[in-house]
Amino acid sequence: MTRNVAIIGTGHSKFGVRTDVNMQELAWEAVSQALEESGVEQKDVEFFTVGNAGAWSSENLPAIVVGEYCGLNPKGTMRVEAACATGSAALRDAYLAIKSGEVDIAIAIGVEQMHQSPNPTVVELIGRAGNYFWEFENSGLTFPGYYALYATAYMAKYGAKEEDLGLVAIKNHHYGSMNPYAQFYGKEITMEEYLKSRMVAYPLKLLDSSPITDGAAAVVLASEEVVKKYTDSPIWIEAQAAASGSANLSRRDDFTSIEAARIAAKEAYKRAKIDDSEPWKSMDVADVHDCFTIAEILAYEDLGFANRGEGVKLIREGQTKIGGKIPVNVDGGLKAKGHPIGATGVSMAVSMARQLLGRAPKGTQATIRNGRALSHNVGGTGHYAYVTIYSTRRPGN
Amino acid sequence: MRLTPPILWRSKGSFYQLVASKCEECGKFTFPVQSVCMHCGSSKVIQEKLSGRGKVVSFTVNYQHRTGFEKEMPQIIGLIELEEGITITAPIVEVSPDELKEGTEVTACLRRARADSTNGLIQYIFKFRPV
Repeated sequence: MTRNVAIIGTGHSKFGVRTDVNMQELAWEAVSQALEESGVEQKDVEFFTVGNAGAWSSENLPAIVVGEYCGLNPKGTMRVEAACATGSAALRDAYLAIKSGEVDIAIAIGVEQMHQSPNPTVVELIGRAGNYFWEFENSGLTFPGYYALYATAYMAKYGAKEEDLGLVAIKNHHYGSMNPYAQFYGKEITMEEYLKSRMVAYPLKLLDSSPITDGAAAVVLASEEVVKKYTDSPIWIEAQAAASGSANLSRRDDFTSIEAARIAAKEAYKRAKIDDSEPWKSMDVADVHDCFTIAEILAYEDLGFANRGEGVKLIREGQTKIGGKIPVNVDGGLKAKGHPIGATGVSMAVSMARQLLGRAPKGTQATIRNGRALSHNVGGTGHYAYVTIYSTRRPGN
Repeated sequence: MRLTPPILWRSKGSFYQLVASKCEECGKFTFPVQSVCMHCGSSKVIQEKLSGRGKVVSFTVNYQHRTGFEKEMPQIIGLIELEEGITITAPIVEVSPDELKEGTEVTACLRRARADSTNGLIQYIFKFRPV
């Protein structure tokens, strides 16, 4: 595989409770923006993928419904699912379709409407992310519970405190409050509010958790052969790697780290020829999978931004804010921007591309020195992991 | 999952006995039972009954109730490392959260999980309690 692939257009809907539109209308908000930005017309798109975890929403063939509404039929398509990493998986399939040489222009779309079902149904469906019988049916465990098991193990081993987790939530709400697309736009939180928020699964509270969200995101991808026709400022996908983990949380050998994320990161760094001893040095900004605050701290370590057990120091020292060693989730992250399962990975690609182009909303722009960004998208509790590296420079140059 | 007599009958081996598969090649255990070893990929596996004794690795206190679990709230759920070297996710009972810590010794016990009034079935599951 030799061809380079670039993002030439990005689109993002407002995230939040979006029962004002149906799924295809929501997707179109992102797709229309991405088409307009790229200058690509529907007839030029040769393949499109639709990331949608579904189950809670009514459409059973989301790729078809979205494709028809957006005028992308009769081009080839498929629905893609990889739990909370669905969006990155959709990006991966569109990316590989171009990289393989089969098509020159493809769109990756992520869309999710979680509010089509009542909350208890959504809680139950997310809770099934694991081994159905031994971890869901029997125990009554919910999704926050799985991550809580990571949190207690991490806190016991490395001495992290509830207040440390609170710093992650406060940081992400701070940046999310300035992102007009974020579910919690305009809403900062204080440590007092954080500590007082309702316990969900000890030690994780409501304000440790990403919300239930509706939203869509889209990126137009092009092969290096046609990029020049459309833009002078493509964002190249320099590398992407994926890995998977065991269905049973209990089969993991370690509860203070996500092995699939470590494997994907290592491979992505290798493909992009990045020194994995201090990868943050060649990066300007990153979006990581903070479905719960503890997950962001695990991500720092799994990505090599900090040594094992020292991720908590990064947040204490403010090193992941703008101006620190490596700004993380300065679009609000899953915590404050929202987490529409199938759209999240694509939304990360949109945020990273806009960061590298200097187009982030006011107050959330990281300093771009290296021209490189990273997204880290985990599905389930480490069942799927995707790490993508974006660059302003064409790979191989 | 709807409780029906055939499901309970068919699953009684794994519902009411704590068993794992043991690899005859590498000697390691895999839980839940499966016909291929998760460590070395060998299909020479036998089923072996577990002692049910282990230690708490990590735990959470769940306050977000799922339909059907209202009466058990809040519930303690733990990751328990069994003597045989495998880890299992299960509810922990007969203890308060502040008495529980990493390393607490626990043992498996059968407890009532739920009842199906239509068929008159009662399902039991494994939970763990401190030794």
